[in-house]
Amino acid sequence: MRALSTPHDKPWRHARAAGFTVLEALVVSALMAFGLTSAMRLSLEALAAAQHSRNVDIASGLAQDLAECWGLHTPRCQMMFLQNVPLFPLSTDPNLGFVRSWTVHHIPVKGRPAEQLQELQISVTWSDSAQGAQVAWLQRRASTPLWVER
Amino acid sequence: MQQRGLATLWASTVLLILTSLWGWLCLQSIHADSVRSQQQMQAAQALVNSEALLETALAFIESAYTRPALDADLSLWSTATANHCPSDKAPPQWQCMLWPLDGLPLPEWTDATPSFVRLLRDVRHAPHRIQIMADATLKPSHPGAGSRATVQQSVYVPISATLEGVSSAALVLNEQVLTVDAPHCDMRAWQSVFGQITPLQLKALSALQMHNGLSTETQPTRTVYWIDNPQLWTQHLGTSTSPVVLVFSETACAVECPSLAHNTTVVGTVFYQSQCQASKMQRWQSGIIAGQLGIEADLAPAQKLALVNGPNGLTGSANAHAAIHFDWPKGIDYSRVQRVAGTWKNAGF
Repeated sequence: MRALSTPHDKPWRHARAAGFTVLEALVVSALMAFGLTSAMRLSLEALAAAQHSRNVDIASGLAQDLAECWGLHTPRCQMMFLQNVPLFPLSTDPNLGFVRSWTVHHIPVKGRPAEQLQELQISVTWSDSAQGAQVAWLQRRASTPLWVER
Repeated sequence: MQQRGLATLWASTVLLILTSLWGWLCLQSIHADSVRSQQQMQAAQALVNSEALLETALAFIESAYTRPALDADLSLWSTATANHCPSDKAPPQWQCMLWPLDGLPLPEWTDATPSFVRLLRDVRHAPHRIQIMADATLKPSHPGAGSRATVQQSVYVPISATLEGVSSAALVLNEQVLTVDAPHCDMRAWQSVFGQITPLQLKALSALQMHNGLSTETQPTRTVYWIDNPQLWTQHLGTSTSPVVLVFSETACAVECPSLAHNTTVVGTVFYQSQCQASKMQRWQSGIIAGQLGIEADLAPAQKLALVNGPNGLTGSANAHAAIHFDWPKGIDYSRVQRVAGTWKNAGF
């Protein structure tokens, strides 16, 4: 298949002779295809992992936000415990909604009222790809008062 | 020409390898970032768990101190040992205990084996202030297994009270005469000497110092003595820089209150729970008291004279109550457990 060259050939004939053989082209193409496919798969998986990690960060932030508002009598905090609507914290992804739910339990303490020790359990769920998309959080609070000098 | 073709193939392969390497490095970078993010969340969860453990301990301490001070203190600190103290806070001045976690409702995901709640206090200078340290480790079944965090906070406990309103007189007597209409001895003399501190609290303080190993031989020395024994008191106690409180209880005074042996010196406050019965003090004799003497009864004129002028005299001092003068914030409610403002720390030191 390769063109035979002689010392009397024109320069453009040298250029033609320097091209790939079919075999070389096939091997290189196969390698390139394999490499690009692998790189693409890696990139997609990395992207999915990064997105999941970002979503976990957002979810734990939402859970902590609610936990820190527990018992605070500010309008914003009280509103958070009144509404239970999906949250869309990412303006770049309006379809990514997080749902925050919570329950308050009384933990019995001998000889003390039920409010002595309470636990707030928070769960934040969202629609992710195949991975489990939930973050659980808890907060406990004893009713022991804080002494602040008047 | 064959060599040039091979060079092209090699160049392409090397380029491909470099591109793959670059892709792999990018993947590693993303993975590292993802791991960092997960670890941050696990650390935050460990912190939340240690806070929950601290709150649980607080609730149970408050529950323990709803009982009378003596019972509450003895039962709560029953497992205190020197082994649980940090190296710079050793008994007999410091009391330390690890709370048995099997008695507490642990927060979910908390591994009971490595986690602990440590209570620590200075029995001599601040027995009413407990430092609580909670260290929580996440369970092996949790994705963040092994992550741990420590938080600490101090609380005031009702084992003493303020000395507001105490008398500075060297001799405090209760001249109440028991009658059918008023059969119980009032707390007038007690409150003049000890303010809001109750007899049970003082008894608890004495037991606490004794159980923790404080004595006249230790450094610092024991400063609170609650005596139920009716025998003659012969021990010298207290110094001008470290005065003591010596209380002879109702039990010690059941028949007659014990006298202080001749030339026995007590620097600080001496009190007799003679239950408003002057007869229990009729044969009483004093040693040398430098500070304050309180008696729940009146004394015979001759005894009063001997106290003022006799060789076994009574002299006043400005720091007679130093042994029970603990640092309480002004206006605080002494009867309940309260957190000390500004003592919450996210660290173990």
